[in-house]
Amino acid sequence: MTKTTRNILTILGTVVLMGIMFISGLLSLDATNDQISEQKSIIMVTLAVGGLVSVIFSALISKLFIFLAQLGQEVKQSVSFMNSWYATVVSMLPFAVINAFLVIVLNLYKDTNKIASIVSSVISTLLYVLIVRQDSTISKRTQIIYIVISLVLSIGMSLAF
Amino acid sequence: MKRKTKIVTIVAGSVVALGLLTVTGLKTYNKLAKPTKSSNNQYQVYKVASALPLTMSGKIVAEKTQALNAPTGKLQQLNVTDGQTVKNGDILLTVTVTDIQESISSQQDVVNKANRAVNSAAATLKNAQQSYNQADVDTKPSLKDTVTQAQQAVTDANGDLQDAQSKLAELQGKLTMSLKAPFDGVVSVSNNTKDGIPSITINSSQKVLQANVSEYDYSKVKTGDTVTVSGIDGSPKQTTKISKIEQIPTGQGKGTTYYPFSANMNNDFLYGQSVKVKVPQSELKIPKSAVYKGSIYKVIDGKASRAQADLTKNGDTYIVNAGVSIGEKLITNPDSKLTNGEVVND
Repeated sequence: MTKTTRNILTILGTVVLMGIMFISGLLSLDATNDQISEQKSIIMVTLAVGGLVSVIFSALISKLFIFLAQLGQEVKQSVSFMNSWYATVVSMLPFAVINAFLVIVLNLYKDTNKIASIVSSVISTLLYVLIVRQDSTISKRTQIIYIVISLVLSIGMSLAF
Repeated sequence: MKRKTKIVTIVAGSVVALGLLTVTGLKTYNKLAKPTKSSNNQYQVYKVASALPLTMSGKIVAEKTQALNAPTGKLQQLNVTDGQTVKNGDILLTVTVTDIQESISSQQDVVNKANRAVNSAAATLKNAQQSYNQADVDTKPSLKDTVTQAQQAVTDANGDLQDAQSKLAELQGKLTMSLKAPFDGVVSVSNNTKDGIPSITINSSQKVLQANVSEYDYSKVKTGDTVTVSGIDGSPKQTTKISKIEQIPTGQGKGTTYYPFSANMNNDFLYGQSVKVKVPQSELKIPKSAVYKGSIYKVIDGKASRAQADLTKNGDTYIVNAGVSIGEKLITNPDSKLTNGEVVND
């Protein structure tokens, strides 16, 4: 896969993720509420920007965790920001699409379901590692440490909030 | 993975993702664009809570109040003051009975008379005995009868004197009468009386709550139920149990009928104090509308869940016997469209 294709996929994926977060945000805020209708445009912009920021923030956090996971090893390992962004978007996208479908169309559970968010964290963490390891820049030990850090943190946050 | 398989997987995944996104987008559009239609299907959720306690006002009164009848006569000593606490058997006042005093005077005269009679009889006996001693042998037998008669007169006079004295002692015992406290309590003394003897009313130390429950709430209150009694400003506060509920109402006037009930109180409260009374209600009630075709719908983890409960109809509500507990969420307007497992906004 060329770098250009990867960048295009990253941007497209980010846009889709932003759209899903935007839709979920609007539905959870109950856009039919009169008070919210008055500030609809502000809320829409906030949701869109919030979606973009959360994707980029996730990419940066993942990059940070990779950095932390490789500390103490002889060979220095790192993931570029674009690579982390791409891996974040691609890892988050499948469950985000399915989750949106299950919540909005099938009404199977609520948007705030803790089990769904834990499953999402597990899937995205594993996919992230699978994508990042393709470049063979990170060791097996780093992968395991990253998975542990990421899962503990995300599951802990899911249960806490 | 072969290149062809990879391409097929990516294309199929993309198509599925696109399909899911399209459906999700359409559903979202329908939800946001047609809010009026969707709002009709909104189910209202009610959190089951225990019934509010019955609240009413009441008064603290003495368990027993008695106006004491003082004996007629002249006040000798008043031992209590207004508001004084007394014990059962304490002497409150003493009265000299004037009628008895007159009888004692006349009885004293009788005693004096009897005394004189005894002295006179004794002198007669003495003279008779002297005459008998100085008499000749011939006249002695005739004088012996005189001495015997004199001795008899002395004995009779002594007997009369003893009777008179015992009657006098009996009358003197009745001269002073006292009024005793019939039970522990606080006395109120009023000197504003015609005969000069203060009127005394005693209120028992044991205080009771006196409150009324309306005919509508009568069935919610039972003897032995716990009540919380507090002053109007919140203090003092006491939790006690209802000791008695009357079956006869307070008055037969028009309007709502009220039945008095009482409960024992401690001494933190004042006599006549106005209080607030709360009777906690343990029974659970749910609205009539929450029951649809004999079933209720609980909201568990944001989803409707059909359930059965043991309910008793009571006007516009159902009283829960079993099957529903405090804190559970129920849908108050279930209908034929509501399905088991449907997501409900709570």
